[in-house]
Amino acid sequence: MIRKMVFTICCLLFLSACWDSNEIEDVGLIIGVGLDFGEDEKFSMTHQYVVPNNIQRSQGSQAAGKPFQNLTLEGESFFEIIRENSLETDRPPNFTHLKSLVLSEKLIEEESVRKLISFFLRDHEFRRTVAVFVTKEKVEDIMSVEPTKEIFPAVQIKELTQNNDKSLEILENTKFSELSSNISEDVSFVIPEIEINQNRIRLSGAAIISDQDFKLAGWLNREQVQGLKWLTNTVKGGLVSLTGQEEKHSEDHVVLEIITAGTEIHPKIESGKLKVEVSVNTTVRLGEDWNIERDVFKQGWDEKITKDAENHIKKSIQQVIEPAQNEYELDFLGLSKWVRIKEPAFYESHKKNWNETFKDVPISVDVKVDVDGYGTQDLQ
Amino acid sequence: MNDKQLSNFPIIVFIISTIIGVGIVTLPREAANVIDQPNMWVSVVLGAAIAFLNGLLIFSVIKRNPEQTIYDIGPNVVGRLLGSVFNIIFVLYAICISAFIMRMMAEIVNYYLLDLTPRLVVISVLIVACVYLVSTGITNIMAFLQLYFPIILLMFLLLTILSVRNIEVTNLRPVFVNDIVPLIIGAKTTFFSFVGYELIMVLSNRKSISGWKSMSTIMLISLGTVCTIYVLFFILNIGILSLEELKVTTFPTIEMAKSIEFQGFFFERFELLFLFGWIITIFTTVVAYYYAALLGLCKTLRCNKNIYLNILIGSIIIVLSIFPDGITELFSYGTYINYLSYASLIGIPFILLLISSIRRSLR
Amino acid sequence: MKIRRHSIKQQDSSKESKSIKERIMDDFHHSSDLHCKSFEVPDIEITILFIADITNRKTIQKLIIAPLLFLAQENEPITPFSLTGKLPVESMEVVKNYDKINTYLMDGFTIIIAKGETEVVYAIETCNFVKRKTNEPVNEPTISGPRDGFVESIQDNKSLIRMHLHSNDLVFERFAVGTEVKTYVELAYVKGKASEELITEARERIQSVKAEYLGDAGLLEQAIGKNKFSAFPELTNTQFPLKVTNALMEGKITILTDGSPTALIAPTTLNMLLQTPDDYYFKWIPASLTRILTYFAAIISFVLPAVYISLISFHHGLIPTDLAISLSKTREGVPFPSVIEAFLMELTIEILREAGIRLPKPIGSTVSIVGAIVIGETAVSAGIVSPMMVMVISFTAICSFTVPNYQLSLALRSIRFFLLFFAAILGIYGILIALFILSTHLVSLRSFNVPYMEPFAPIRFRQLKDSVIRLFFRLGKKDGKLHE
Repeated sequence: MIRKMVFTICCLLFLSACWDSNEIEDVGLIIGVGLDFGEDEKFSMTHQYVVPNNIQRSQGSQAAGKPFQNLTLEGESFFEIIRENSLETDRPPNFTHLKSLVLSEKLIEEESVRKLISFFLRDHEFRRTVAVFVTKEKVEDIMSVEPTKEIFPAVQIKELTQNNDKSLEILENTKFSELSSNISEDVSFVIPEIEINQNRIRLSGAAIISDQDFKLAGWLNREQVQGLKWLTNTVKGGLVSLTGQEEKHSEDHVVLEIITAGTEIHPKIESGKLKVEVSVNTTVRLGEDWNIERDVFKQGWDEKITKDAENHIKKSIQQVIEPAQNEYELDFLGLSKWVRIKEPAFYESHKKNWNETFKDVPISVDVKVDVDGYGTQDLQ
Repeated sequence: MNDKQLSNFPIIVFIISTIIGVGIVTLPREAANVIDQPNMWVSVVLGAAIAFLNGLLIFSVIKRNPEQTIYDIGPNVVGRLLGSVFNIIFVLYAICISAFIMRMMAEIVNYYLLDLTPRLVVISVLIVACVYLVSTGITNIMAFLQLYFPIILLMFLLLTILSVRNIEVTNLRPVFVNDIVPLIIGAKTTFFSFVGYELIMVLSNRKSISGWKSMSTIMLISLGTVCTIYVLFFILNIGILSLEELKVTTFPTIEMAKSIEFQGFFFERFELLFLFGWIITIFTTVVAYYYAALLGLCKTLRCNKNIYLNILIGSIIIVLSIFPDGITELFSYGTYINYLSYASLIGIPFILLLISSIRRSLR
Repeated sequence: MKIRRHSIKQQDSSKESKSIKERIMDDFHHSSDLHCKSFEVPDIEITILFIADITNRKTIQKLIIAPLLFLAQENEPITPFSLTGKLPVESMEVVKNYDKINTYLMDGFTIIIAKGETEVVYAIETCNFVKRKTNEPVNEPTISGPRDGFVESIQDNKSLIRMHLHSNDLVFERFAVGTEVKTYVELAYVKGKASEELITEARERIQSVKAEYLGDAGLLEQAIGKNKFSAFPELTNTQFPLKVTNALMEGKITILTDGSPTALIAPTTLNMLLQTPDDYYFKWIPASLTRILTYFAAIISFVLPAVYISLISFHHGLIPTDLAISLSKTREGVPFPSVIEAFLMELTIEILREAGIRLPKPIGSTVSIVGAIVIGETAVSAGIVSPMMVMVISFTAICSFTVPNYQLSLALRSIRFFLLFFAAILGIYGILIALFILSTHLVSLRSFNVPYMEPFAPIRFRQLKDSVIRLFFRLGKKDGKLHE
């Protein structure tokens, strides 16, 4: 009996073995996906396939063509489109190496992000680290822009935000994981926007997704993104540029480099009303100074700069609070999170109509700038 | 460590390896649905405490019947017929739990590793390995568990270290919520993830665990270790996935492992590491229950360790684990198994304790 | 062998009627190297028998024939019994049992048959077997340890062990093993260190060997081993005396076989097979690092191809993107599935390795190197295999060379195919299952009742400090045993 059983099992294994075996070169690795509305049918989906043979490896040999291939197909649902893919390529699409997902403006205006994303979240092939972007351009165009540094446009798009610690205007990647947790928590959020500029991909602002229907609610420009970064405590570095506007004469252009930055949000209940205090603490260093007259060795040289910088930051924060409360009436600033943590009782009672509450919450911003120094040398 | 503790080390390893299993993957979601508070790890500690109390009940049964396994105690105390019924309930419980775990593992393996491989193959291959290991006897099973124990711990440690970076502290706050009621209700759920310690009843024919002190040391160390690991993973899960996300993710811990990504590192993806370690824990759990079932069947049918019985149990487990239709049905089977575990964790030991104390007082 | 048995039976019928000398001559079938010389000393007739090529003829001449002839001139009355003490030799044994004569002759003794009124047979040791000088064991090179290795002569081997271990507790026990032809086997242990059970077990196992002829320690190893279905060696094979003495001091036993330069150490654990004597000659930090490296390489040597296969044909998602892309580029155009590719390359490398061993040394290494390079290079450029596969397989092969024990490395090589098979069917999951089965096997293995996986499973905390790592010795303390 034992022998028979072992024999049967062995036969089972031998006869129909290797169910999942699929050689790596026979798999169509997809590293980028773009979603858009189609012209005839409902959706169009752009897949960016890797064409390994065209990757230039060793020195000299010039590759025959592009290392990637974009396949744009239209269909009624994404699954259908993926199925249709197999009509055109001999390789089954494999999404395990997906790097970025680009959504078009038109699409998220009409369709809920929740619906769009649910397919990607359900399938285990998609990783939670896929970066999501929104674009006003045609998705197909943006996916085929010749990358400058990377080999593939999709990777280039994902890596664009690598420098978020260098600039105030670059948001961190919105990953699948964040998207899905924001959706399941029912909060508004933003997705970084990309655009084509002089035949190159660049980051611009961000798209606001409403928590009501998870559709596009509006856009943030690059200045507002700065304010958002300050508010959400994601500033890791960057520049505070005090142009003449603040100082009223153009020679006095000062650029400050942010060394450290921290934002604290304190929601407070005063006589049943919610009040939010935002306090920003940042240390900066004098980076570029167009005012020759300034003597940094004199006491109090930085007083004016400090004050200007504080005003500047405060203003940029208010630049984003203002539309959030008045124009969109959406809390994509993440204030609800802090209210939930600090004032759970209040949050519980106002959870249902949080946006209504949020719209009238007085938000006070307090910025403290500390000018740390002026570098190694100051030419007089 | 002194010698006495050392002699109990294999038993501690046995119990820890038995407890850690499916719970680590599904418990965070179940608990999040019941408790719905960021500090739900408190429930885990409460669950461990309940398990320890139940452990004390089991101890008092063992204490009254030293150097006997539960399968010997039953017939001795309540007579051969009723004792056999008890034994069969316990065997059934062990078989059902193995089948449940096997099916759960097959689901996850099918989902994350092998899409198209038939579930039957995934399950039966592991059962074959299981039959082989169990047929070599308890000494070798224990040695096997000791061999893999450091690997399991290392895997958990590594995963923790790698995930700490991804924790969003705000997800864990507020830490102090006044609402204690859901935490206590949640302890019922978390308690079941500590199931496995009852297998000390199968090992209780050893001399070294007859005393109160050694028994409670074994229980404290093993439950404490498991509790620490669970709490750690709860915190990681909530911190990385956030509470709301946790509720809707089928296998949160694996998703958590999937969020780890190190660019340019040789291994970019770590869910493999987790799955590797996790399947080991599943195997150790199944082996322990499998052994319990086999021993029970052998003792009840009064035959020595028999390869045919061994294969019979394996086939039953395979059939039972193929039986449920889908994962939702599987989860509902979980609740039925919970009734069986009430019977074998609390019911049988309680009756045995009651009758043996009545007998003693009559004497 | 069978013919021989037949002839012995024939002799038995006619043995009564013949003289001892004739009987011996018959037993040896009048082999040309059996020399026989007879001469008369007053009153008795002396016959000297010896096998010419294994005896020292000068000794026979000087110490036996010359004194006997001198005795003849003395005219002193001698009886066959009084010959003892008359010859200037160390020992002169009286042989009472006829069957022993043959054994003595084959051991290189000279047989003296003194025939007067009675017939007395003496045996005098005059052996002179072919001997090799001790030189460094080829299989176990060492960096800083002693360079001597065992040779084929059991006497020399014993002398080597005595040289390295000056202890009066060192005991040798001699057994003659073999039903047809006897081979001497020596059981060595240090009294007081080795447990009595172990010694008894070893004695029983040696005595119960029922082989016709044991030509080498390798045969003996298989004859006394109990795990017939295991690829893993149950006894450690070594040609290195210091390894033997270390093992003896650890309470292990050693079995020496006559005619074999290999000593067998028992009980054996996996941990022991992965250690080299060199580990103990260096300071503990570098020694520990080498140990870790050895373990790591040993694991890689059977796991790597399987892992590679499962990653490349099952779990593409687990490879880093850049690597996945370049792998799929290198595999482009390879006609075989990666499993077949791996089997092909494995087979090639095993064949090359075997060829390297069989060929004469200077050619052997050249053939294997050239073969590897040429075949690998051309196979890649012809597009039959992918360069990554060549890399993986050759790295695996190199890793298996770091395993100090050849038997173990053979076992690991066999297991590699087992794992490869499982990986080809079920990917990573299959590897895990294969590892479960493998470790069940290892855990249930016993070598002379000692668990094979000690000190890992069951865990022995005290011994762990000399396993994957080698902590410093606490010399001078009571528990400062070097090898425990």
